[in-house]
Order: sequence, then C-alpha cells, then structure tokens
Amino acid sequence: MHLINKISCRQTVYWLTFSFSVIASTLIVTHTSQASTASNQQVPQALAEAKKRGYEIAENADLQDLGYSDMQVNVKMILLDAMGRRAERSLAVNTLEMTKDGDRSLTLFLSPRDQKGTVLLTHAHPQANDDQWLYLPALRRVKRITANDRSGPFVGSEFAYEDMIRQEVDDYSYRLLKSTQFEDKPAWLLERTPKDIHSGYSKQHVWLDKQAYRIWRIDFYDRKNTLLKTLFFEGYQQYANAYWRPLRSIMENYQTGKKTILEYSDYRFKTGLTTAQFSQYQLRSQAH
Amino acid sequence: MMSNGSIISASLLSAIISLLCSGLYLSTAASAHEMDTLWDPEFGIELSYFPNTGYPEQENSNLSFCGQLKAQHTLAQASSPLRLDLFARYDAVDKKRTHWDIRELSWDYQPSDQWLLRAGILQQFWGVTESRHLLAVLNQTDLVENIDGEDKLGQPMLNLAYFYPSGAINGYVLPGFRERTFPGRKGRLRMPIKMGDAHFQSGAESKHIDWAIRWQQTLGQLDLGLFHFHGTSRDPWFELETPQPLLSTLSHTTRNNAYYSPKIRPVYDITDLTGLEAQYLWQSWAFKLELLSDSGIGPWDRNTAVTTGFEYTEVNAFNTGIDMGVLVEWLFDDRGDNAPIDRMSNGWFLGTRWTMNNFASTQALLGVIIDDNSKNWSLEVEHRLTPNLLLTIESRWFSQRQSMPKSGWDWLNTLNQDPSHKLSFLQQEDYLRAEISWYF
Repeated sequence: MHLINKISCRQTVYWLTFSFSVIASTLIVTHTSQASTASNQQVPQALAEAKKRGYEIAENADLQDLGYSDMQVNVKMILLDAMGRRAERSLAVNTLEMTKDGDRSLTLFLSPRDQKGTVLLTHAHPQANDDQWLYLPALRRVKRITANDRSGPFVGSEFAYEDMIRQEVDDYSYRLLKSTQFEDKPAWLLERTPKDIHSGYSKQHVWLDKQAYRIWRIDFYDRKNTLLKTLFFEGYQQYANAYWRPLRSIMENYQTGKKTILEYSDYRFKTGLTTAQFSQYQLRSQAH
Repeated sequence: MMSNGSIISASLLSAIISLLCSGLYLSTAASAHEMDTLWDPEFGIELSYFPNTGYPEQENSNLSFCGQLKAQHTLAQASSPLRLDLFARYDAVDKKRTHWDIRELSWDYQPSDQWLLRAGILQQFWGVTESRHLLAVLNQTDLVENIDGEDKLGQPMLNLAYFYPSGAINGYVLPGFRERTFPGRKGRLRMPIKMGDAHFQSGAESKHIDWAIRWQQTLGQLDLGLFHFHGTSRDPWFELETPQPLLSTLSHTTRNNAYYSPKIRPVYDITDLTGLEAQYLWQSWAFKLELLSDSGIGPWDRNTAVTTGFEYTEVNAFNTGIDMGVLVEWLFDDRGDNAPIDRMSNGWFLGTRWTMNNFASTQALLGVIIDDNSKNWSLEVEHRLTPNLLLTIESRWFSQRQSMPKSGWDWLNTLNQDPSHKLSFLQQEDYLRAEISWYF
C-alpha cells in the first residue's frame, strides 16, 4: 500500500504568477451614490453597468500578461501559526503560456527534504476542471489526481488550492464597487464572485492600481459571508520590460490566526520551456 | 551468502557503467556548459518489534540501519541528466536483509520533444491500484525491505519512448535478471522453510534478454495503458527440493536430521504477460482497474488476475482542513486456492487515508485485506519531526483462521490438504516498526 499520496500537494502553486493580474481597469467610472436616490429602474441599470465594467477590467488585466511565453520562479513558503511556530517549504515553479488552452504549470518540491523530488503538474482549462498529475519519487509513480475540489489547503498553508491556480477571467463574475486609493495610488475596488460551486468563498474584494493593473490586496469572504482571509502583495518589480511581479505576498487568516508568507526570487521569463516539459507522459524526467 | 554479486552479471554491470561513463565523457567534452551535480543523502534507523514468538532462532525485536544516496548530474541547456540512486541496509539479525542495491544509475538522452532514450539501471512503475501492484512487472521485488512489494530492485534496461500529445509508446529491452530477495533463517515474515538456490527455465538463466512494449493513451478523464512483456517472470514458483522424509529417518533423531526441514527453491520461468490498466476520474472519485494475463509458469496454465476498485477523496473534510480518502478494491486471481502464495485469489481491500495538511505533513493510511480465511491489517503513519527528520511508523497484524504451522512439513501438509491456508505462517508475525530518516 502506498502511503505517500501527498494529496496535500494537489493544490498547486503556480499561482501568484497570475492571480494578481487578472483584474484591471481601463475606464473611469463616475460613481456617485446613486443607490440612495435610485429609482426601481436605475438600480438594475447601475448594477448592470458595474458588472460590465468589472468584467472589462478583468479582461483587460488578463491581456497584461499576454505573450509572457514562459516563466520560472523560486518560492519560499513560510508558515506561521497563532502560537508563533514556523515551518518552511521551498518550491520551484515553472509556467508555460498556452494560446488555445489554459496555462500549464510544473511545481517542483525542493524542501522539506523528505518531499524532495515530488512534482505537481497542472493543465488549466478555462471552461472545465483542471487536469493534475503528481510524481511520487518513492515509487517512481506518476499518479493522476482529481482536481475537482479546490477549497482545500495547499501543503498546510493558508492558501487554498483555488488561490494558487491560474485565474481565468471566466472563473468569476465581476462588479466594480468603487474608484479609490490604495496607499496613495489611484486604485479600483472590484468584487468578484466565484462561479465554481466547490469554491470555499462567497466573494472576494480586490484592490488593484490603475497604473499597471497590479493587485495589492484581496479580501476573501467565506461561504457564510464572513471575512476569512486577506492577501497582501509587496515589492512589485517589472520583468522583461513588461510583466509586474511581487517579491512577497502575505496571507492572513483571521479565523485561525495563522499566516503564510511567500517570498519570490529569481524570476525568469521566456527561457524557452516547451510543452514536452509539461507533459504528463514525461513528468518523471522533470523530477530532481 | 550474499547474493548481490550474482544478481547482475559483473560483465553486464561493467558494460553499463562504461556506457554511462562514456555518456558523461561525451557530454562533458561536447560543451563547456556549467555543470551541476545535486547530492541527496539520507540515513535511517529502523526498530521493529514482534510481540509473538516465531520459529526457533527468530527474535522478537530487530534493529536495522539504511542509507540512500541520490545524485543527479545535469548539464545546463541540455536535457541529458545522469541519475544515481544507491541503497544499502544493515540488519542486526537477518543476514539476508543486509544488502545493497543500485536502484538507479541511468542516462537520459532526449534528442527532441517526441523521443527519449534511457539507458542504465532503472525502475519502471506501472499500475494504478493501491492494495497490490500486479502490473509493476519489470522490476524484481525487494521482498526483504517490505512485504508490500513496493520496494523494487534496479533493473538493467534500455528504454526508447515516443510521445505524442495524448499518449506515449515505450519499448524496453531488458538484459539481465534480478532474483527476488528472501529473508534468511533468522528473519521474520518468512515461509517456515529453507530457501534453496534459484533455478531458471531458460538455458540462458539470468542472462536471458527480455523485452516489453507499452502503449498509453488519455481519453479525457480516462487513462489507459496496455503492455506486453516476454521474458523471465519476476514472480518465481516454488519447487520442493527435499524429498519427503521417511518415517524411519524421522524416528531416529540424529544430530543431522534434528534440524531436518524441507527446502524449496524459487524457479524462474519464461513467460508472456499482458497487462491492462485503466483509471477514470469523476468528481472526487477515481475508478481503477488492473488486469494481468500470464501465459503460465510452473504448474499453472494461462491465468488472469484482476485488481479493481475506487478511491474517493473528501478535500477539507468537515471544514477541518484535513483530506480524507476512502479506498475499496477487489482482488481476484482465477487460480482460486491454487494461486501463488503472494496472490490473493478472492478478497477485498478496505482502506482510509488521512492527510492532515499540518506543518508536520502528517499522513496516515489504515487498511485491511479480507478474504474467507484471513484479515490482514496495516497501518502506516508519516510525521515530520524537524525539517530534516521524518518519522515513519508501520504496523501489520495478521488474523488467520488456521494457527501457525509448527514446522515446514506441517505447513506443506496444510498446503496439500487445503491450500487456502497458505498464509497461516503469518499468524505470529504481527509487527510494529518505527523508522527515523535523517536527510542531510
């Protein structure tokens, strides 16, 4: 019998690469407090308008990453609990841009050392469940796993699988809440609602700057509509003269008091990764 | 007697090593790319406790050490890594369990995205089920490591693979043969009988060149694999080497025949194996099938074995952050009670897997294999103590309807009268084993 299923690895990490670039804005909404004076006609109209704007922003944000081709990054994950205990994991994440399908990602587990050699491969699909495979070095076995439920925690962190994966525009419906400031930067506040019934969230509030569509903060509301977690991004830098990526992200869980910090280093773009390196049939060759 | 030397012929080993060295030399000479070698050593201490007394000379506890060294040598900008995986174990009680093995020593050569050539000593796992691995037929089982059959010995092979978008075709040439490892006289979890030297059906003995071909295909949520293997069966059958004793010799207990016990020898026949595997994913379910058809070894004609079942996983069960899995598998062999000793002929596996998703990555798997005559339980737990220390606990307990045979002859009589009790010798072999692995 095979113990080390590492189901916990099902949740992937490609993640950050994208989740913050999904939303953006290109338009200016003169958002007056219509609600208070709104007639029966104006309310649905204003709502429809906010939804339309929200979607357009998300679509435009998605375009910001167009043509990144492929990316590699090293991720150090620091887990902190309410008692101040700490654990670390380190990962190497490769992603490949696909034009006719969702992007592909390969997550190599480097530490803790007993998990070294484990590889998680994900093929994202915009309109369907993702496909996932796990390479288990102890048995030298490639195991295809179900990627149905995305609400579970990723390797004991405060990130759920759904926080980590490539966010496709059509995974959510959107609503522009208001034009605002985020730490002196002109910003948008969007609300997005997951379409996936398995999502652990009822909604998310997303702050992104108007200048470059960078996400700075996401509030996650659980199924009971209570604030569950907040994710902050720090230290954005531009790579390959085009793509903004953060150096740090911090996820705080208000209900458990736990916190997970991700530190990114050594971003590399357009290194010439090929589909063969993201093939389930060749997964074993990718393991280190 | 250490049998490692005979496992792979020395000449074959040297041929492989020289091939690998030349590969290394060529790749080194061919480019001035920066070189990168990763070393991953680990060391383990294992303690076992058997609460029940076994056969004479067997002990109730055991201490063992093991070491493993993995290395990968890569050339930047080249997809031709060299891999090494060395394993060694020292066992304080069982001399046969003290052994070493080259798990892998291989060279990958990938001329294009579609083609891959692997050469050297390799391990190749096939199959999808959890309770047994019918289809992992290329590598010999390292039985002294664990009776679950998941530890395999390195196998010399040449593997050519062709990949296409929805599948792959692999061809294998397998020179050289590894004999299964068996516990020695003092080892636990063994048959109550002496093990003789291996015999081979082929005149080429362990030098018969085997081959295999495998096709795999993905159809949406369905994965299929079909293979054929021709060569020396990794599963032996057992032949009685000692003649049945005469009553007269037994009644005169001289010094020699006081220890008179029957002796069997493993016989490795040439066989044809055809295997099919299928896995279908639906929501949180994985449905699995393994089917193996064997043209027959020893006393058996063509026969078929099946393992099939499902695994259901509840992610974040009851909102606790814990992943909980349920496993059910049916184990079948059409030879019925006459099936080989390690092959359940008609039974069920029920299991549950827990992944705690905590800092220590605690995981547990509890399972039981049930048939008409036995219930065999197992528990495996993993828990990380520090970033470099991993604790593994394993326990099995066996509940057989028939009591432990008193001697080898007693067991053979049981086999003759009612072969369904063939595993009765496990009755006293319950154990608890703890291992601490240090990664440095």
